Amino acid sequence: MDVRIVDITLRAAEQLAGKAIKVNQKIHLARLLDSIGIYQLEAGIPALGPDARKSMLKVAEAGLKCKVSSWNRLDLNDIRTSMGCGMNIIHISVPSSDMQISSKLNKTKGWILEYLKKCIYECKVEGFDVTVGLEDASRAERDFLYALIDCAIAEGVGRIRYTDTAGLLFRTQTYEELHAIREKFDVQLEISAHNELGMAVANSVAAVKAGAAYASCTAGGIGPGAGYCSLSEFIRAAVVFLGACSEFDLEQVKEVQKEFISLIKH
Amino acid sequence: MPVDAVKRKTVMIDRTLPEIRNTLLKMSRLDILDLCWMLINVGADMIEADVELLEKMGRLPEGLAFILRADSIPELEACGRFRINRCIIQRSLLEQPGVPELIKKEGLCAVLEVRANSIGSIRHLEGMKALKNFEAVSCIRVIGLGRVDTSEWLETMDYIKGVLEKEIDICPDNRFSMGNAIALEAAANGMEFVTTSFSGFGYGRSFASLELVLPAMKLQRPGVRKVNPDVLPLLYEQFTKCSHIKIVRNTPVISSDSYSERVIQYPGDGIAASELVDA
Repeated sequence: MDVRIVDITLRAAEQLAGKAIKVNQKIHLARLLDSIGIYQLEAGIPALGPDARKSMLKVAEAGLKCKVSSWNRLDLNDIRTSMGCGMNIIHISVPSSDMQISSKLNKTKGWILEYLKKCIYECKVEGFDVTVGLEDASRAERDFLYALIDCAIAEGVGRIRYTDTAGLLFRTQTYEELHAIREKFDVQLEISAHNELGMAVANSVAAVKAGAAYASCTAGGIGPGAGYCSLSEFIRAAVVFLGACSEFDLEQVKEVQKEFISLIKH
Repeated sequence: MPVDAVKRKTVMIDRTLPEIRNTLLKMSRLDILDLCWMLINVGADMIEADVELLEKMGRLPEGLAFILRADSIPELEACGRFRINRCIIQRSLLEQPGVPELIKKEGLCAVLEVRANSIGSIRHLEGMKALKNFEAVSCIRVIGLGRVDTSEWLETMDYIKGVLEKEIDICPDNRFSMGNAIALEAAANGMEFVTTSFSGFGYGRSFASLELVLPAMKLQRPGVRKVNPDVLPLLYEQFTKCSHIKIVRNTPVISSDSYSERVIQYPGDGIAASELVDA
């Protein structure tokens, strides 16, 4: 079983209230994360402003081995801004549950599908690789979730990120949800598990068993709320339960995590 | 044991106290009692303790249910003194002469603690039936389960439960971050007892976390279990006072009917991740 790590530490750090990482620190951290062997680094959210974009551009120009991506709302302006940041991948996060749709977009589901098409199309025309995130997928109506996946695939998206935004899934449910998508669609899957109930690692492992080929993690499990799947804990579990991630040096990963924590604290 | 605790399908046992005591830190009588009340108020049904802790508490207050960890015959005899009817024992004690008679005389429910790390080792528990004095045991506490990565373990455990004809107490460790998932699966699938600790704290190891498993159980079976998140900040402070361990608070995103104020995130690999938020 193989799994690629999508490290979203830099983006998650931007979402922590009152914590800002300086540009040089961000580049340093990006290099550290790259050195441990992650597949992709989510460098930030361009819509946060010029500083965020500047730092992302610097990260993109740092000569990293890993792919570098940006996180974007379902908003053409955000996405256009993102295109100037030198990213390999543009990630578009789509609210998929009724709760998120009403609080974030207040639009119809039909509108969301049409708008998603436009957003993906624009990225593709400019030559970007696109991934689509299903925000709050665990609380979404399944028909709509599948319609979003269908739409993304039709527009040429090769990878879907399933996000358990509220951290409500149990591992059996995670397995069933991901397995059902895997059975129905020919698309690569990524799991982004939140840790509200302390099950982000267990859910990520279950998702990989169900066919997800990518897992989102953060250093030390940081992130808004109770955080995301911890990078080191996932790697340790993946080695034992999935026979994967053996190429990572766990001690090195822990050192990177520690350095990150220390950077953020000071 | 409080009446509503027995009516529930799964009784939640908390083992935070003996784990703190294992660190050899000194706790006052009042500290111990406060911690017990807070653990019960947040949603635990029963507190695990040892003789030293109980002696420090003196007369045990009404309304707190205890399970005594007994490592010797004198400790087993102490159950009567403390009016406790549930005890945890190891195989070495169970097989000593006179122990079944003592269990019977004191009217004790004896919980035999055994380790199983994988589904394969759960299957081997079948052999316990041949243990000397096994008939004196009422319940089996299975600790470990660290290498159980799918819910398939439940089928094996159901089979073993049938063979052994005993109640089951699941106390998973969290070495590979599966503890909470296993505890929850145990509760959802009819295991009589689940044992956790606050913040997953364990002396030299870690367990499933009481404060995370409880809301998950509440989400899983709404209305069955009372969970009181308002006590969490106080419990956190008390735990820190007793254990000298700082667990940093984080803000949850979970639905409003669960822990809407705070979730305490325990650190991974010695890194208090959420220090970032509170520092």
